[in-house]
Amino acid sequence: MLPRSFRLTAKSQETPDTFTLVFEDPEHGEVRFRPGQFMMIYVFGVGEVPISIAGNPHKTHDLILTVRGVGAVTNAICALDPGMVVGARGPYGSGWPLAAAKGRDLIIVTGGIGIAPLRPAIIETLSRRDDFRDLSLIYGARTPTDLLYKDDLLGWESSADIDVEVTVDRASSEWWGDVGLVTRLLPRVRFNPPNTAAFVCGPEVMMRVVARDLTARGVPTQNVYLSLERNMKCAVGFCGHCQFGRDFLCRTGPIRSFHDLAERMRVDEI
Amino acid sequence: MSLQSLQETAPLLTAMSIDGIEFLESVATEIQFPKGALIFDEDQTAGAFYLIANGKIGLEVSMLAREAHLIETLGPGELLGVSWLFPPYRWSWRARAMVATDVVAFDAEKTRRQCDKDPDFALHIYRTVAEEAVQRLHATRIRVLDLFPGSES
Repeated sequence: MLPRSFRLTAKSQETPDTFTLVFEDPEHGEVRFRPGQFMMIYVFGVGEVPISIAGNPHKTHDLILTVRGVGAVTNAICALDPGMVVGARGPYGSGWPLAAAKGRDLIIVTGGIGIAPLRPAIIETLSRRDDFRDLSLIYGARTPTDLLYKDDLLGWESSADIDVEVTVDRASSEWWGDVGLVTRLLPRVRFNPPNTAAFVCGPEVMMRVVARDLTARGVPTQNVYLSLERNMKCAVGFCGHCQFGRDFLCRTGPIRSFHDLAERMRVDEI
Repeated sequence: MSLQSLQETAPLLTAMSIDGIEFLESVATEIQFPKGALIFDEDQTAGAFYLIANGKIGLEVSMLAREAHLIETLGPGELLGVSWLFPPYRWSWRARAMVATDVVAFDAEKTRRQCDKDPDFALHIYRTVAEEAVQRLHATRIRVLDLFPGSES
């Protein structure tokens, strides 16, 4: 439960309000994590928030976080300058079930900043590409300006190892890519539904629609995994702030199968 | 390209009868549009409908004093055009090739006449168009929620 001290070593601006920050812990060294896990980041005197780890799971010396400034704590994180220190504890939570996807087609569907917790999973799957059959990424954002990890996307798009489809909700005539909901791109990617796993992260309405669409196409509900965002506070299953029905998502989530979640995802204000 | 070669990816052709395919072939024309080409414009007569074989087509709306707004894109296997099936048979939007695009264009008036003559063919056509329209309606409703935070276009 005690936070470690992490020093900011590099910071890059992804979009007008979103930054990717690289931290290191010179005292204790590396942070081992599974793709999909999160850290509790404490800005001294401001507060603590959960942030998904966005780095390469094989480069554990760096703690990489992508943060959108939307509140007091996340704005304070985005305002950090190199050399400044935060507290961090973790990693916490379940990771993306890469073992369950082994030997299957894998579709990764994400929207907005939901790509951040999936970036380590994409890096990991590409590092052991032979473990999976067809691999696809479908990524949606509000506008072309709001797309994160543009360098990664260019690299992935030019790779034969992954089919990348990108779409936005709004675009000017300068955009020559796709416009529309992520589900509209599902027919474009190759997958054999009964032998497909899907990792989905984004706004909950989007995830529900994607999960429904995938299962309607024949992907088993047990193979569709969603990452739910709730108000994590203690991150160890005591405080109950992240309660989602019978689960405390900090312990038994945030990643769960649609099979476990479908019924509860129809409940208002849960 | 033969329509059979598109059968796997195009819902219009999946499960269509051999007679239906033969009729569509008799009213089909292959067209290649270069990137940026205007395919049809708002209020023009909807004299054809299109099956996208390769490439990408954008549906735009004219914003008069501002630049045209891109509403949605369509890709391989998808149908371009609904207005050809319902009066007044005029396009509601503008369609433009986003990249070099190959389509099969079908004569709208002859297809409507065939629908009047052949109820099975008509059912398949109307069902395909309805399913496509419903999917686009659902997707549009989700997009209206404006789920992704971010900047204005």
